[in-house]
Amino acid sequence: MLSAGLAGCTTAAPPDNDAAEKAPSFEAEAAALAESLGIESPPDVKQVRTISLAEWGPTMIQCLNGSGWNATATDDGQGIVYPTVTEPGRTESLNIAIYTCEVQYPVERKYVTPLSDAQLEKLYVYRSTDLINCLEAEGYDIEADAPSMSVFVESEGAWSPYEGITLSPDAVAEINEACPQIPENIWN
Amino acid sequence: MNKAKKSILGVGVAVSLAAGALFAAPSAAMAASEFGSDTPITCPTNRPAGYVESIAKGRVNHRAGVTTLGSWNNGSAYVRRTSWVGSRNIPGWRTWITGTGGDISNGYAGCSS
Repeated sequence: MLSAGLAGCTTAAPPDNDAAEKAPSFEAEAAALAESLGIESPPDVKQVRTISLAEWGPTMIQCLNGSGWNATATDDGQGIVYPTVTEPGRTESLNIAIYTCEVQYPVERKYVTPLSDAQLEKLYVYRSTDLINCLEAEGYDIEADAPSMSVFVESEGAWSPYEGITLSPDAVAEINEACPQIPENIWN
Repeated sequence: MNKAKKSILGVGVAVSLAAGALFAAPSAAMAASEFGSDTPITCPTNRPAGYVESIAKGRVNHRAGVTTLGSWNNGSAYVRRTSWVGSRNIPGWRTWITGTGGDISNGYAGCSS
């Protein structure tokens, strides 16, 4: 899960006045999802409620399991492993189930709004200090140097000290819990 | 490590990189929706764990052969995700974006101990 309340990151980033305009609408997101899944005639699905990013994996798994599909959690506990199906008819049915669950439970718009420069700067400070310190305290060697803040912001936050470390299936959930890749409060 | 860039959204070209090739740093104007390779990987006995990784934002998926390894919603921040194949053999792999607003800054497959 994505954890909140990390040292040194306790204040919310200033609101971005343009942020709401940058977030995709629920309708646009549903249409893009249907296209990605190859669904030509998406079913009419009503939204049940919006969810946080941390709820996404468990909520989707519960929803899919409720419609008869055996979805499980990834090793890090934050994603989904869909059942493997190869028959075209079954694949289409699974994709419609995925579409239905995601439209019923979309993530709140703040999580899909492009990060503002202030949020990116906040993320940079977290990743280049607290996150590196956390990973090193957990026994990981961080070899790659952080880019400059301007390069980080220009790349929209693509750098992470996680990129250079070796993980194992047994350790990935624990380290993501101990040293979250994103501090929850950047979304506030 | 084996990584290949298969498509770049926005400029409409496809680029393939051989294993071990240098990869240009991402930029706001260079958004990738997919990385992958059809070339099988066989991991050595001393590094038997095959894996697929991505550094991505948005809804990202990993696959090895016909097996979907995992899907995540990273929101609008880049996050590293790792999927283990459970075998020394990776029969081709793919990581790709679903829906809107996503980008993969790097995707690769390889072997770890």
